[in-house]
Amino acid sequence: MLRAFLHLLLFLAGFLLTATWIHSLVPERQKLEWLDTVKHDTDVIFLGSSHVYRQFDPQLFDLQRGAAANGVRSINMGALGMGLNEEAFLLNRILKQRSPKLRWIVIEALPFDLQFQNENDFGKRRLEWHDTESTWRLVRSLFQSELPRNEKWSLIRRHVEHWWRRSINLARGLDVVEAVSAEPPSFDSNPGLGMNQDGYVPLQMATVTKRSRGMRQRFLQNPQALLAAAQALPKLKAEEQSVDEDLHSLVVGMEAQAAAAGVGIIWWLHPNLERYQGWRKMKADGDIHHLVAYDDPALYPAFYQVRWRFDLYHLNRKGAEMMTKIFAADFLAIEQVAAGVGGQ
Amino acid sequence: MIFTEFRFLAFFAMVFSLHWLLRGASLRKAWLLLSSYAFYAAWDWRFLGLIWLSTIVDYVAGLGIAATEAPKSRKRWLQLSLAANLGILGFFKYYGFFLDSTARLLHSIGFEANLPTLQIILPVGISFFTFQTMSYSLDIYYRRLQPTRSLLDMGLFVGFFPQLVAGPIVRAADFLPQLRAPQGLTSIAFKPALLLFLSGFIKKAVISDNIAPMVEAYFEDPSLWTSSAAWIAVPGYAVQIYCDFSGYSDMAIACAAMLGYRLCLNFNAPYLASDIRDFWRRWHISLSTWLRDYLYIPLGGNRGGAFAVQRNLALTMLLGGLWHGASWNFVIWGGLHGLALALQRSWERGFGVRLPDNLLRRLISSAFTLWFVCLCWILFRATDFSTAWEILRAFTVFHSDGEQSLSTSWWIYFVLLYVAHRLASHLQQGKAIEKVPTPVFAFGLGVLAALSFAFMRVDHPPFIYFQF
Repeated sequence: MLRAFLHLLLFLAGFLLTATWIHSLVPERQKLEWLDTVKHDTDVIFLGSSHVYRQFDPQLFDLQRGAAANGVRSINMGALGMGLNEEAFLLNRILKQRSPKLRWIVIEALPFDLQFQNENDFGKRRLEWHDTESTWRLVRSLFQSELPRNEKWSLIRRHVEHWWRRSINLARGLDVVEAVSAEPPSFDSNPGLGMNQDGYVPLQMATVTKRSRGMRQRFLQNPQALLAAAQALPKLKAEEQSVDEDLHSLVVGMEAQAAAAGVGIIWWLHPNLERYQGWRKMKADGDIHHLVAYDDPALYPAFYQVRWRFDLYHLNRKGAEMMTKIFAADFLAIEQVAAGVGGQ
Repeated sequence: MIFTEFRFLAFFAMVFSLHWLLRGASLRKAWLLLSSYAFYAAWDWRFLGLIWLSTIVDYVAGLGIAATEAPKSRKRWLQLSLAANLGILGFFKYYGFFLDSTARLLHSIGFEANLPTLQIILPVGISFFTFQTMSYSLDIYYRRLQPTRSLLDMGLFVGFFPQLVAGPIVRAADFLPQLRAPQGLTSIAFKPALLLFLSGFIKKAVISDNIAPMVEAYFEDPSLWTSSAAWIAVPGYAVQIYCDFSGYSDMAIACAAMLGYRLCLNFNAPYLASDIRDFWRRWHISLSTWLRDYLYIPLGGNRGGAFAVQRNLALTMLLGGLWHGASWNFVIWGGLHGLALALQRSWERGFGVRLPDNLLRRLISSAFTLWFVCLCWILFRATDFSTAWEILRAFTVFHSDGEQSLSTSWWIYFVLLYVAHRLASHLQQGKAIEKVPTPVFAFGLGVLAALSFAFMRVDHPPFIYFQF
């Protein structure tokens, strides 16, 4: 019996060692590889969903803040459908990459989501961020959640399955062979990095997906829905907001992680059509240092005008330029304050 | 639930553990039977009734045949078994095919028939378990076997999950004695069994499933591709179907072995066959021997004149083709193999020509056999005759108007696989694995398992033979 157990351990050792070795060769998402090539002069990174990917123009942002004079640049690391857990994973990865000039990471403030945002199961990106830490966090939160039992267990199963598939490098062997045998990818004219090769790809009819075109058409058929949704937004009362425990713990952890690396996080609230709870409360409580919130139609009416929107959920190219400029001004103010108190 | 899914691995781990923890043969057998039904129910619980029906009919028929010496009475019991099994098979597998063929035939001679059509789902494994139960009754009828009085044993013979859905087609004479004197845990050769399982897993999940998209793309519309693509996609399909089916068989045999049961060999390096008869001694052995014993020999076998033998061969192979599926493609596929077997026999017997048995002859003969087998696979895989004709033209006379091509590096892959095929057949014979120290074996198995997972496909395409 003991001998059988030892043989089982040896089997596991062989398995784990090989899986770990393969894992070290599995290529990461292209934007992380790209970051490695531009990290020497990057001081600001934008991170978030399509709201970031489609709306933050690093070149314009750098122009507004006079980055060229300091020999630095910003880059857009946003990706479609990114959630808070993926942001946390990427923050960790970015900090590990140790960009020497990195000072700020602008992260889209999103809700802590236990659900899967779409049915794109086992996609490479989703597998990538299901590391042990993220998966354990989600499973723990799901255990404590008040979701219906069936839904809860189904979600736990799916998250664990993602983690498991990631851990055993399921079906990633050919990617490894390709990565090892092929030339390193060139980032000189990569369409995924946009026209200026800074990671920003604005929303334009000519370049968007069929789904986005459909969303645009539906928006144009009923543009009044935007105004109605903006008016229906509940009033902001920071002191009354509660903070979801999972959100709080994740965000505080991210803040601490960034601070330990000497990097500041600026949380950014997109001009949403729903209220993401807890962010203002965390700011008021000092859990987060910097919050730039554009989700108040009273303060930022332009973001809620049809002419600046591509669809109900995104700004168009002009709107994105306007927002980038406004953000650049806010950023400079934050930077000045930070420098005044000793910097981040 | 297929063998390459993780839930199967979990299922098997549970079945295996409890099986060996239980004390007493009956308890173990009951547990295996329960597990087997659960395994089948994971496909579709509604068809469990068919397995039960087949089990009970043949259990009763077997006892009925053995209970009497009166030939008429014995025959009646046998007829009951055959009618029940062929009835199940005919209704679920061939009803639509015969109806469609009849309607076409009537249409061709000017009659328009409004025949009643039914949407029938094909229960997985039906061709396998019905053939298995028929062989049980036939063996008792021919006095080659004593019936079992244990319904539990009979149930497990029919429903034993490793071979339930895609074979090997087990003979009662091989399996029932094992149920009466089951093996103990200590007498099991785990090393060969584990290696066989992993090699089956690699064949299916790594090789076959990764070739499948290329083959599917070609067979979808061969007119788009150059004729050289046919010379990649057709051998590609030959690799795919062999690795798919023999991979499944390997895993089935390995699972059974780990539970203490021995299943028959189903494949023996078929693409190394020296001629077409040799191919059928190596390919789907459990079916070819079944057809030989229960169809070819009762038809007369090698007895009678040359015409009778050729007729028996042709009939056996045509029905063997039809066994694979309710389609004329399969019938013609079987027919072509039958024709090749008949020609080989005629060549050997009729002309008496014996070529020198040297390496060159063997190489030419093997290469021609492999080419012919690939040619026949075109009919097996193509969805209709026009597609098959398109591919046959490209594969034989290099005629195709298509412009898309496939990477010739596939050929490097095929050559490597052929070498591996040859090496594996030597290893099987040599049993070299038993000499490897167990700690080294365990560690190496872990390494291979991790590599297999990395190179398998993320989805789990079903086994090709499940549709049969």
